[in-house]
Amino acid sequence: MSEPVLDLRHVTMQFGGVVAVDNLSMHINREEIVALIGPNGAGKTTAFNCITGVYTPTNGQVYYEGRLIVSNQPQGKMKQLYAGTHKEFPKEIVVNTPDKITKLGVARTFQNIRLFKTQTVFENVLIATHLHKTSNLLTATLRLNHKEERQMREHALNMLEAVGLIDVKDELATSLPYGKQRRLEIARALATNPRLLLLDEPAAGMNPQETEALGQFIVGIQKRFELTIFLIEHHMDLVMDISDRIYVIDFGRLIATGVPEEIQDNPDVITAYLGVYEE
Amino acid sequence: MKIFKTIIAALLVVCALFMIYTSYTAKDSLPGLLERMDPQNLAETDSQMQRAKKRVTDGLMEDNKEKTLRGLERYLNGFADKLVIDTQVQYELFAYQNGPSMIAGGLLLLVAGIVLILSAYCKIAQARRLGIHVLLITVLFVGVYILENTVGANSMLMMVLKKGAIYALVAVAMNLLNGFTGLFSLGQAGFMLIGAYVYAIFSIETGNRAQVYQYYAGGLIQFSLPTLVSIALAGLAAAFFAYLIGLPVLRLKSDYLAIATLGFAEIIRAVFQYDGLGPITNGSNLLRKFPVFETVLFPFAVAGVCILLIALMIHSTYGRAFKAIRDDEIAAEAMGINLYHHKQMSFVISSFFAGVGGALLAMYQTTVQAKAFTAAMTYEILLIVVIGGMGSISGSILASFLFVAASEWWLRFLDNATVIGNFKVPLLRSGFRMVVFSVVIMAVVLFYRQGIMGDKEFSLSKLRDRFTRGKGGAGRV
Amino acid sequence: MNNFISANLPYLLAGISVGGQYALIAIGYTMVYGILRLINFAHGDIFTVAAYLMVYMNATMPLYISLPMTIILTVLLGFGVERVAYKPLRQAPRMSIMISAIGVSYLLQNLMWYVTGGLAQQYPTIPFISNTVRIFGATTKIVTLITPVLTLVLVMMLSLLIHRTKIGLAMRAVSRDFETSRLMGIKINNVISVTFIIGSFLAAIGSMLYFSNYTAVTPTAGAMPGLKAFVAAVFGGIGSIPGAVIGAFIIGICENIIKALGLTTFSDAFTFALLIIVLVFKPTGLFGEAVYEKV
Repeated sequence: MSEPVLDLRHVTMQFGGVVAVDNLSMHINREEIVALIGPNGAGKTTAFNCITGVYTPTNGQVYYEGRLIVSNQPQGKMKQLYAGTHKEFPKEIVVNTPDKITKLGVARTFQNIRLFKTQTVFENVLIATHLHKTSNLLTATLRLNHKEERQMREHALNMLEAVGLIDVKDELATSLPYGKQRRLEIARALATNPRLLLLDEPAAGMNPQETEALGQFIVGIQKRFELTIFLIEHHMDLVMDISDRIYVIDFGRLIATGVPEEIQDNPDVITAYLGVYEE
Repeated sequence: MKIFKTIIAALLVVCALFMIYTSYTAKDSLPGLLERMDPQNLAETDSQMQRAKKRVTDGLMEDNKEKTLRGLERYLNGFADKLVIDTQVQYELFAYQNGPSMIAGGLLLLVAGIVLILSAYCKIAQARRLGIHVLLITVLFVGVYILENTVGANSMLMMVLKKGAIYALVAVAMNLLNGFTGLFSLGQAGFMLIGAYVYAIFSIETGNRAQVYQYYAGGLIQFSLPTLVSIALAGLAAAFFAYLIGLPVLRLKSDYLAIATLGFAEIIRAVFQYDGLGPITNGSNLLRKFPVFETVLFPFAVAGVCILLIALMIHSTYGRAFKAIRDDEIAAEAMGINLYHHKQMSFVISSFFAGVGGALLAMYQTTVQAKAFTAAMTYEILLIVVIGGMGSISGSILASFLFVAASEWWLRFLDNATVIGNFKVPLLRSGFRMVVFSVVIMAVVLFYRQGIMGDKEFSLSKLRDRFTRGKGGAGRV
Repeated sequence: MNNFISANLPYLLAGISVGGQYALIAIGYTMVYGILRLINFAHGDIFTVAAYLMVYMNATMPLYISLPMTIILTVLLGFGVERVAYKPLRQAPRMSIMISAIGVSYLLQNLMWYVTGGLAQQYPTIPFISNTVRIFGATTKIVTLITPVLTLVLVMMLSLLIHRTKIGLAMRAVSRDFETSRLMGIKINNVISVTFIIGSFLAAIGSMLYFSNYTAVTPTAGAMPGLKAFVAAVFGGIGSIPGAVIGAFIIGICENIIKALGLTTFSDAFTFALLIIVLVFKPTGLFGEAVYEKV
């Protein structure tokens, strides 16, 4: 059996007294599309941030392709404050900055679109090819890297081609309509040559038609680039349509997991989303 | 069309070669020229004229160009009515009197010819564009050179050009950090100080050291390095200090960088004035007697090369990474850009060029004293960057020359009490210039925040578009 | 023993006194930073302008008028600077507003230079506080003794204002979250104006105490104490008033110890070295809080 691409073990993230993610364990297999759902404020984006190195989790470990990329235990003041449910602490401490994790092959998009505002569509994608450069500052300045530079530009153009933004490549990124900005974020993430792609609410703010098109698009790029995709999403139709498996969290805790059909009928999930009448 | 271009190019090249040839041979042909101007040998009979003529030939014999020129001028002015001066003679005289400018002009025509041939036969657009840029740079240098030879090296215009070139370099270096990488650093004066001192310390001639370091027994360092080596060393020293400062500070939030670099500049200023370091820094005394500018072309060339390197870097993949950090640190990091390394790179490079700028400033001022490198100097440069436009190299260059010209030259009259007739113009007295100046700067900061260029660059193709297609044609390049 | 005290007490007293004066300036920095996230580079110059106002007013008016007038005009200046130079840039990038602050600083310095002709001006002696006293065999001015007391009294009053009044509540809210406070109906501009008024008021008082110890005022005289006060604010944890006060006293005392050791050249440099050390080991300062950026 092949090992999972992504493996979270007891990940807990606590801000002061607030436990945003509590004892989250999950895994994603190669070339799966897995969704993480849950009500607003359930800790989904925080979980993403723990994987990508934006936050260091208070406790727990993250493995990527069998390699330990994040591992932490409560330290300093947090030893007394720690309120997570999982009390077993890993011994090693591994902290990776987001750029290192991206270099390992994990790319992401952002919930609140974070494009490079002053740059064109093409430049936005081109920047994402920077991490695989072999040139150093001197060779790049003296243009001794023109071959590589040409490859970078071609690669960026291919990515724009793949997401269908090639005809707007010279426009300012922020002048694009919302839906295209989301696609540009995906193109930019793809340009880093990831094997695991994390999408944070890719369909936010889209209408049903756009959402459906996005679903097909995500499946398309998954096949084309042989990606493993992990996404956070609120549009249930999209999630049910494209996911192989779903994880549901509420108040930072995992409450259900399974294939879409199982999740649809799970009473805990329905309660979490709709609430219960208390008499 | 091609043939037409070729013919013109050929003409230009012939002209150029002729000009260069005549100015080269002008010295040797001068005795013959003197004979031709005076075919009847009137000088034999007129003792005054003979003396004047002899002054010229004496100058020639001693190989003293200045003396010859002076003599020639007097000879020509005094006896114009007796001399035969036809166009041929006139031209050759001109070639002798303006030798260097002629050679420069010839060079210009030569380059123009080559570029023209390039544009006619070369298919590669990049090569043609490069050709045009080379031509423009030659025009600039030749123009400045001829200007220097006509208005004099110590004229106000030349002072402004020299200082403007230095400030342009320092401002572009600061723009790299503040405008392109989005790091708010205020250490520019500190790095310039390091550059100025390192340059001065290593380039003072050994023979002059005893005099300069008179309070410190001739100083510790008893060797001297060539000018260019000292300048490079100045940059490296500044870069080294930037690296050290960057180690802790660049991992912090940007605001702390501002105050830490400002603080660093103050520390450096105190350290360089410290008596204990006197044998090296000369304490709080002046450093002087180091090589200074001989021509305005020197600062132009050094600053030009440095700015070119910065521009090339900004347009490379590293420059794109810097801009990404400026636009959104978190997204940049998610794209695999190591924030700390790239910030460190930008900071060290910016400081390197600030150090080089400091060395040039030392050459310009001819003396160096630590207490002149105050925070106000940093502020001035920052304001230049803002006026030119954060994120525009050409804007910084333009603003530097404007700033220096305005503060050193055009607005000087505001400092002098002026009386027109019986009316004493109010407000005009010492210090008013700077007040007006700072009000103008505040107006730019508040109402014209984009500065002259915004974050765009001056570009020929855009300019051409504007001329050929009227307004609205300029697209991004 | 007695000798040791009389030799070193003046330095300690001077340190405490200077520390109090820095504290009064530092509060202005830290409050403005807390609310606008702006390093108000012009604050040190406002402090200097207050000194000049005192010089010129005292030449023509009796003390009981010139003293309050100085304070009022300084407060007006601080208020005016905010309205003219910072308010129009509320929506601009943060770097722009700091550049504007630098521009104001540059303008004020040049203006002072113009008005005074660049000459040092004699600071007036304020009766009573400029008198000398002897304690434990050391001679010092009364101002040295008054400063720390006055500083603490003012800080306590300020702390009452911040914790017990409505405007204080608004200030605390704005410093927590600018946007949300605005949405909650707090009049942001009023809060900011009050912040600048308090800052300038304290700077004016600080200026009187500071320059009573020195005889002359020059246009750039305030730049260095201003910078040091800012360092004090960072040292204590920017945004925290008690932090700023404690930081200021520490810096004032350390600086005078350095002077006592005969290393006067380095007393300024020391402050900044301290800053860099603090930033390395405790980037949030003594009392600052870590902030998580929302992604």
